[in-house]
Parts: sequence; structure tokens; C-alpha cells
Amino acid sequence: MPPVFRHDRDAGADELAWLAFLYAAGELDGAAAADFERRLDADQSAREAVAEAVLLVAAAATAGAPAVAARRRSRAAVAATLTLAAAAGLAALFAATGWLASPKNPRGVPGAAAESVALAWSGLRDDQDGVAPPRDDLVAWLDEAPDAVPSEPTGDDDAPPPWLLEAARLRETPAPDGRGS
Amino acid sequence: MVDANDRTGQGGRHVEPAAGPVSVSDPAEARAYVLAAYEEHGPELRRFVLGVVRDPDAAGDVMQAALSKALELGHTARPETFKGWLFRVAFHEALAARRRHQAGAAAVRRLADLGLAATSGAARPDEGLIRVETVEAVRRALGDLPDEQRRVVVARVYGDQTFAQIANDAGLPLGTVLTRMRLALKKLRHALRPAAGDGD
Repeated sequence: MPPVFRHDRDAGADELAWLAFLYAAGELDGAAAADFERRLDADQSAREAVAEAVLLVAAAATAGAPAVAARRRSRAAVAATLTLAAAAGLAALFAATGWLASPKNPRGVPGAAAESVALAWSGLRDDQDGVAPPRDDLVAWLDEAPDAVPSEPTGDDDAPPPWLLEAARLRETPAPDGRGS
Repeated sequence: MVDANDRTGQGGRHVEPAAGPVSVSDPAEARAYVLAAYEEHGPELRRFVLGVVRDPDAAGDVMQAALSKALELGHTARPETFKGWLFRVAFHEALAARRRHQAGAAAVRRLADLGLAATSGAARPDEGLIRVETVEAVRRALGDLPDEQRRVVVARVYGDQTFAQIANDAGLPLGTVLTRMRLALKKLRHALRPAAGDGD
């Protein structure tokens, strides 16, 4: 078959598939739906196109089921990242305000910052049952739903503990000597 | 009610749709032919019916009614046009069922629910099957879509959003959203091709 004819046939099939999808999705208005139903009454290829549209949606819905689980993992990953960031912020706050070598802590605690981060990470790992979420999943999730990151503790199991969020907020507050970040 | 699990009408003996005309002189043979053809086209037919009624319960009723009609009148159809005849019978039953069910407005709203209904709740187990290869192919194709197209697919299929709502939320012209969905649909359909034949 000459390519030009095949192109026409493909274009016709694409157009029919699109119409069938819109019909199955309930996106055709009354007149367009009535037109398409007249075609369905007479055209077996149109009926099969509707069946294919539903098959496609069924496959996408089925393929999406694990993605929902992945999203749940990604939500946990976001919370984990917030926890880690908050821990790092806390450590930075301590360092910035001189707490690590204050009179109350004359020798300083060289490993304290790393330790707090390590503790946070350890808790994180426990929460995740040792499964670290792939970074790409996290980035994709953030990219997909940037407004889904809770700005306040939600009581959700995935949310970081309030004290860490508070610590993160403190990091935003200038220290008394103006060295806050 | 017709027993949809009795696919042969001949004590479980599987009968392939005949290549020649349906015998009208032998009712048992005609019944066996119709049941075999129904078995062959049932999964695709159910997806078609779901696309028309958008209601799994109504789809089940339509499938039963279509099978009853097929057993009653299917012998009058020629084998080469039996599939079209069966789909047309089901279509008319679907339109009638939709009119009856619309008063209750119980149809699925999310497209994903419609899709999942196509994989479950079938009168026969094999009516709802979707091949693993098909799901995997679509999953890969979804992953390969450009972000802007995938977002429209996700919002339309998994969210309870129309294209107009998606466009409004994204601050995009409706035409842009439709074009993205159409391009995505084309790619997903192509992904479906090598794995086509689900239960058909």
C-alpha cells in the first residue's frame, strides 16, 4: 500500500480512536455523542474502537495501581527528606548559635551534628523498613504534585515529628547575634 | 436467566464458531455456535458495553440480555457478520439500559474506575482479563510520555476531572489539554498494538 494511503488510514484510525475515547469518557456533548452513537449503530470499527478505548483505560488503571503504592512510598520519602533536612537544620542551628562550644558545653560536641542527622536517618530507615525510596520517584512525585508536600504536621504517619519541623523553622529565624541563615 | 457459564450448551464440549452458515435446522448446533462466538467476543463486547453505559452493574445486565438475544436470534446472523450483529444487539440493549439507569445516576465517574470495572465484576472470569503484557506495555508507554502529556493522562484517568477542569486548573487553553491527551492516547494505543488481543 502506498505510504500516503496508509497515512490516511492511520489518520482515520487515530481520529476514530480519539472520538471513541471521548465518548467512553463522557466528554462528548449531546449532539456529538448522538452523532457518534449513530455511527456506533452502523459501524463495527467504531464499536471496536470504544472497546479498545476502555481496554486502554483498564490497562492504564491497572498499571497505575502499583504507582499508587509507589506514591505512598514517595510520600514517606518526602517526609523522610523533610526529617533529614530538619535534622540538618537543627545541627546547623546549633553550630550557628555556638551551642556546640558554649560554656555549658565547653568541650563542644564535635559529633553532635552528625549524630543528630544519623539518628534521624536511623529512625527514617526504621520507618521505611530498610527500603530507601528511589530518588527519581521522589523527584517525579514532587514534580507531579508540588503542592502535596504538607507545610504543617498533619498527624499522618508519614509526617516528620513536630519538633523537627520546629527546628527547621528556627533555622529560618535570625539568631540573636544576627548569624541565622 | 441464561447461564453464561454454559458456553457450549452441549455438556461442556467446546465448539469453535463455524466457518460456514449457522445451521438453523439443528437448534443444538446453532446454540453451540452462538455460545462459542459469544465466548470468543465476550471480553471485547463487555468493554464496548462498559464504554456505552459507563456503569458496571448495567454492563452486566446488558451482557445477559445480549446473550439471551443471541441465543434466541443468533442463528439468523451469518457467521461472517455475527460479531457485528452481536455488538449491535448489545449496543441497543446498552442504550436501553443507560436510559433506565440514568435516573439513578450511579455510573462511575473516574475513568480509572471504569477501567478497573473492565478488569473485574465480569459474569465470567475471562471476560475481565487483561494480559500482563498489555499492562506492562501501557505502563512503559506512560513512563515514556512527556511530562505534560502524562500529567493530563493522570488527571483525566485517575482524577475525577474533566478536560475542562484540567485546563482550568493548569491555566491552559482547553485545546492544549485535548491535544496533549490525544497525543498521549496515540502513543498508548501504539503500545497496545503488540500486546493486542486481550481476551478477544
